[in-house]
Amino acid sequence: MSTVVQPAEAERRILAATARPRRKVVKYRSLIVLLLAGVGMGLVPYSGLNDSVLLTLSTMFMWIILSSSWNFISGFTGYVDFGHGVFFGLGGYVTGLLVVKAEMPFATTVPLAAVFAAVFALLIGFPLLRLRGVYFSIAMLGSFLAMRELVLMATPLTEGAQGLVLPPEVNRLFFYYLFLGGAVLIVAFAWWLRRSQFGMSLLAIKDDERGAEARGINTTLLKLTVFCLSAAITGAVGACWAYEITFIDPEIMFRDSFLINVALMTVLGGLGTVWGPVVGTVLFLMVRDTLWAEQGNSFLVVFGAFLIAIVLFMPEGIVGTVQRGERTVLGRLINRVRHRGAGAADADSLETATAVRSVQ
Amino acid sequence: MTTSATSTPPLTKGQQDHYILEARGITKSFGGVRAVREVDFCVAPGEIVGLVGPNGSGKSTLLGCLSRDIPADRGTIEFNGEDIGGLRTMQVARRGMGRTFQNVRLFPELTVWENALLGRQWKGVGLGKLLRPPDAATRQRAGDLIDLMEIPHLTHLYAGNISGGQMRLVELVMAMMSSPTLVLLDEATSGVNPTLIESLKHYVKVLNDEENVAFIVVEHNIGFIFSIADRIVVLDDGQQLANGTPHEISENKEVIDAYLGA
Repeated sequence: MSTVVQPAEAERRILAATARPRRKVVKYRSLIVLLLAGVGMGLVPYSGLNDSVLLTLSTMFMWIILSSSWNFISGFTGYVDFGHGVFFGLGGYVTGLLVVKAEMPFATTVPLAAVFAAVFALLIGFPLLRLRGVYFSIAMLGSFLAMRELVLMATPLTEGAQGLVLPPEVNRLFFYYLFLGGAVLIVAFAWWLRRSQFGMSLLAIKDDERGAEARGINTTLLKLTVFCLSAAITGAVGACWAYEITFIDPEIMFRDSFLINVALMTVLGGLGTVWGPVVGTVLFLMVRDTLWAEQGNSFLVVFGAFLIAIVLFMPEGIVGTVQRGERTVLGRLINRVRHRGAGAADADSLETATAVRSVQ
Repeated sequence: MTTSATSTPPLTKGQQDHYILEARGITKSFGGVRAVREVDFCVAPGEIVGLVGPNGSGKSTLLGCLSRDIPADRGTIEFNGEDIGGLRTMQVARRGMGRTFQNVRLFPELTVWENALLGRQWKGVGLGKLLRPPDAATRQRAGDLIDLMEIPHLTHLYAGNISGGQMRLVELVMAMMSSPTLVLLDEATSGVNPTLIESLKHYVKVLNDEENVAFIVVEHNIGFIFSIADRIVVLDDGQQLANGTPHEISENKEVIDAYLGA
C-alpha cells in the first residue's frame, strides 16, 4: 500500500486528526478529576461531619462499585443481568460463614468470597451466556431466586432465616476508606477498560455479537471473563458489607431491591459509559433520600415519575446523552448549547467534537 | 479456458500452483429447501472471483458456508491448506479470511477509528495485551487503510452516524485490518452511489495488486463484477451453472438465459 500512501503520512494525518485529544492533560482529564474527587472525599472524615453523613457517603461509594461492576456485563457487553445480586449474597455468606464458623480473619475471607463468586459465575455463565436478551435476564433472575431459597433451606450451614451474627465491633472509618478506595479504583479501571481492545470488543459484542465473531473476536471467552470479573467484584463488596452490618440473613443479603437499584443507577447515568454508574448512583441516592425525608412513604410516586421522565427524555442516561447526544432531541440541544461559544456550529464539527469527548 | 459447470475451476492468476481456498461438494439445506448443492469452489492467491446468480440461487449461503458463519451439511473446506470445516467463524477470521456483509455490520457505539482497530484480532492474544490500548502497528495499519479509502475525516464519528456508502468503506477497512489473504465482499455496492462504486472498485484493485489479497465478490451489479473479476462463477438454484472469465461468461448461452438476459 506504500505507493498509495506513505505510512509516515498516514500516521501524521491520524495524529493530526487526534492532536487535540492526545494532549496529556485532556487525555487523562477523567483520571485527574477522579483522583481529585478521591482526595477530596478522603478529607471529609476530618471535616467534623457526623457519623450519619459518613455512613451515607460510604453507602454511596459501595453502590458506585456495585453499579460499575454491573455495568461491565450489562452496560458494556449488553447482557442485562437481573440476578446479579446472587454474587453479592454469595460473597456475604462466604465471609459470614468463614468468620463465624471457621473464625477466619475478615481480610482473608474477602478474596475467598471474590473467588467463590467468580467460580460460581463461571459455572452458570458457561451455559447462560449462550442466551441473549430477555432470556439471559430471566435465567439470571431464576439463579438469584433459587440461590436465596437454597441459602434459606441450608439451615445446618447458614442458620437459615435466623441468620448469622458477625463480630459487633466495626470500624466505620475503615469501611468508609475501603469503599472510597474501591470506588476510585473501579472507575479508573472502567476508564482504562473503555480505551482497551478488551473494552472495545465488549461494546462490539453488545452492538452485534455475530458481527464481532466474524471480525475474529473471541466472544465466548470475553463474555465469560467479564462476567466472572463483575461477579468477583460484586462478591467482594457483598463480603465487606456483610461484615460491616454485623448480621446477615437471606432476606438481607439476597434482597430484591438490590437488583432494581443497581440497574436503575446505571441506566440513569448511562449504560456502557465510564461515568454513568457514578452519576446515576449519586443522583439516585440523593433524589430518593431527599424525597423520602420530605414525603415519607409516598415518595415513591414522585420518584417513579422522576425515573420515567429521565428514561423518556434521556434514554441513553445522563452521561450517554451528553456524549452521544445526536441520537436524542435533548442531547442535540445540550450539544448546541455547549458548543455555541466554541464556534463549532456546523454539524460535522459538532459530531466530531462529541465523539472525541466520548472516546475520552 | 472454457466455461464449465462441474469441473475444478482453473487457476487464473500468475504462476500459482495451489488454491488458498478449496471447497468441495458444499451442500446446505434449510428444512426441505436445498440452498446449495454439491458446489465446488476454489480461489487462487490474489484472484478476484465474482459470484453471481439470481436471487435465491445460494450465493450468500455459499459465502456463509465458506466463512463458517453457516455450517455446511456436507463438503470439505480447506483454507491455506488447513481444513477449516470444524472451526468457528472467529477462528476462520483470525486465519486470514476477512469479510463484509450484505447488510453492513459496524459497531455503532464505537467510532470509525475504533471500528477499524477492532478489525485486527490475533490468535493467542493474552488478556494482558487485550487490556492495553491497541499497539502502534495496529494503529499504523488502521491509519494506512483509512487514508487509502480517503476517509480520515470520519475517524472520530460514531459508525452509526455516517452514510451507508461510507459504512461500506469502513467495513472494507475492518476486513483488511489483519492483512488477510482472502476477503469476501457480500454485495458491497448495494445502496452505494456510482461515484463511490468507482472508488470502491479502485480500492479493491489497489489492495489486490499491492497486497495480493484474493477477493470473492458477490454482486448483482453486473458492470462492477465484470470490470473487476478475473473469473466469474454463476450459481443457479444452488448449483454451479458456469465458471469462466468475464468474457466467457458474457457469451455463455445458459448464463444469458438464466441470469444475464439478452
